[in-house]
Amino acid sequence: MWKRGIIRLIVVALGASMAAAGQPNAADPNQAWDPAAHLTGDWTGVSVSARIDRDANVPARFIAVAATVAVTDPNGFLGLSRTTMSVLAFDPNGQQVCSTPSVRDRTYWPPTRIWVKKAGRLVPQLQPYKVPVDIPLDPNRACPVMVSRLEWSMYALVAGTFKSVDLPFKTSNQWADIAPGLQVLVTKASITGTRYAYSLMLKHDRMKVRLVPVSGHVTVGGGWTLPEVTVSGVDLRDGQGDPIEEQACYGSLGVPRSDSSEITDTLSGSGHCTNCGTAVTIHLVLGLDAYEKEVRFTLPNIPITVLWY
Amino acid sequence: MWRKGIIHLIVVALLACVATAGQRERATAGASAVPSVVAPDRPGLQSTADPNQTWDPAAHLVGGWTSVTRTTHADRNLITYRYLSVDCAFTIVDPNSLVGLDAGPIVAVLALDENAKVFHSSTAPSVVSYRPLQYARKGMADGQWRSELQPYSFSVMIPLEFGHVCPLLISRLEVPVYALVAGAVKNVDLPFQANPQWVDVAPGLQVLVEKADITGTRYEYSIEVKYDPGQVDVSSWSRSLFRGDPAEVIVTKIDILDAQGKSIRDQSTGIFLNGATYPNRGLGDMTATGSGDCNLCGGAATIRFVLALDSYEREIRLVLQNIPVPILW
Repeated sequence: MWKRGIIRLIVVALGASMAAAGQPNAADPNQAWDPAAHLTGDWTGVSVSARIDRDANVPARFIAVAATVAVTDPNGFLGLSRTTMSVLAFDPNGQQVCSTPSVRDRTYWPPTRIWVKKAGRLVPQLQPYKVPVDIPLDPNRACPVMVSRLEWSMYALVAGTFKSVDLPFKTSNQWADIAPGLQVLVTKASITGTRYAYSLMLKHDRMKVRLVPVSGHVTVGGGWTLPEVTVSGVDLRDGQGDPIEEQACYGSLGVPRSDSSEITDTLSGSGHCTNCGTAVTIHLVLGLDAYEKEVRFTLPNIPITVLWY
Repeated sequence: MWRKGIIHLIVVALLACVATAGQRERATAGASAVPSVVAPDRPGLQSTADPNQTWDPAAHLVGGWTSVTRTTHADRNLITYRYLSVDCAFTIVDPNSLVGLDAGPIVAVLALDENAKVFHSSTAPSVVSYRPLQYARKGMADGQWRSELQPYSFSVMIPLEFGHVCPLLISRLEVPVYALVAGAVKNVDLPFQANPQWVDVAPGLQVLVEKADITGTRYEYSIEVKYDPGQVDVSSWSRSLFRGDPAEVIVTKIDILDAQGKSIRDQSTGIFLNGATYPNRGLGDMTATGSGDCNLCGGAATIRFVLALDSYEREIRLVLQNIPVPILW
């Protein structure tokens, strides 16, 4: 059981698109999270290609749209699958030129972020996903002059609730229960001049809890169930709750014992900063009660004729 | 138009130009060398040849192309560019002494069209880094597990100049690829047991086996490493790439062996993990960790360090002929 108050933790509930536990209709949490309010599709370029495989007799032809998906509001968002599915493309006459099958990808990748300084403070800036959308074409059919409408689907992993946990930036010999099935021990917290380093041990049930900073992604399916708790981010904060510096964060995966799903991972961070002495807390962001949500994108009027020369 | 019947004319030749350590000789387009036709692809071989002998690429690698793509791209500002991309692969028939292969970018230095006229030429880029050999574990029909060396795949980009007619055929394509080759390979074995003493593994390389535990079907180890970054490269330990001039000592592998000297990982079913942390990135200390949970892990007896000594760079020139170019429409 999740015991509160074992260590003095500052638990902050962030704004969440609520699919509250205990509510009768929480089984349909997809009502709560509107993709259009969080994700935006666009495109940056387009290619036409023809390929010959050495062992094939007929060349394959396809249009590839370099699309992007920007995370305009990260609340509730844990990650996006990389594979596009159910692609539909139409020519200017409304004729369908391509339809791809619905092969679902259930590995979810968090958005990459860079740290930028704004008003003297370092703030994370999410980078758009680069999403190549391939439109395979009938080699015996003329290439369209324009893709008047392009549609595709991707799956997003969404948290029913988000919360953050701030651990004191000091070593401890006492495990802290920070979420159901997740215990943390701060094994290292040091500052030497302009350099800081910390190390956490995270003991958890790997079927229920996923650590994105360690694994880099969340996989669902193939024996993996939707996580109850997803640790989506870790950084170091000062007394005002601001990140102190860009940092390198890396983890190592533990090996579960054969007879148990319990596992202990190590998560370490280190870096340089001019104000390391202000480090007060190790800040973890947790997404609870994750679910999958299909997101459909539509882009109009992608010109192709420019490629004919 | 794509002309059938040309494809079978593929001839792969590997030309070797020695560029010894510290004396990289960058080839220019059309550099002369004696081609040697390489035998057809063969499955991975276990060579018993002395790895310290002069390294002949034709005896170790078989190269070829797998596909060719012609692309025209435009961004939203209508800036367009065109290129050909040839996907290639080396099958590594004999990995002896081969530490890594060029991590790219790999570019064509010479491309001739169907009239044997040059339509692209450039100088070879400087090598940036090397990709260590990649192995994949595979279950065999007899129930055993084996590590299989994976082919080395890469793409060669050939930009097409604006306004020039795209060729119908690449009659000849020359591609330089760099290999990092060990002058000698040395195995250093330590008992799989914790030892508070630092041990000299090689000049500039000391290790301390901090932890070496066996519990039932599980083993786990942690090794502290001190090294001289000017002499020793440990980066391949964590499967990242090593860069720049080759170090005198390159740690290419850490393996756990059973009492018979066989790799446990290669024989076992189970889960294996390893990693490394660098408290002072690149400044001479590292912690290597690994663990396994498997049917044979309880038999862990030896920690083996595989070291590549006196490594040098070698240019391999892949020459491909008569590659058809698809038409767009």
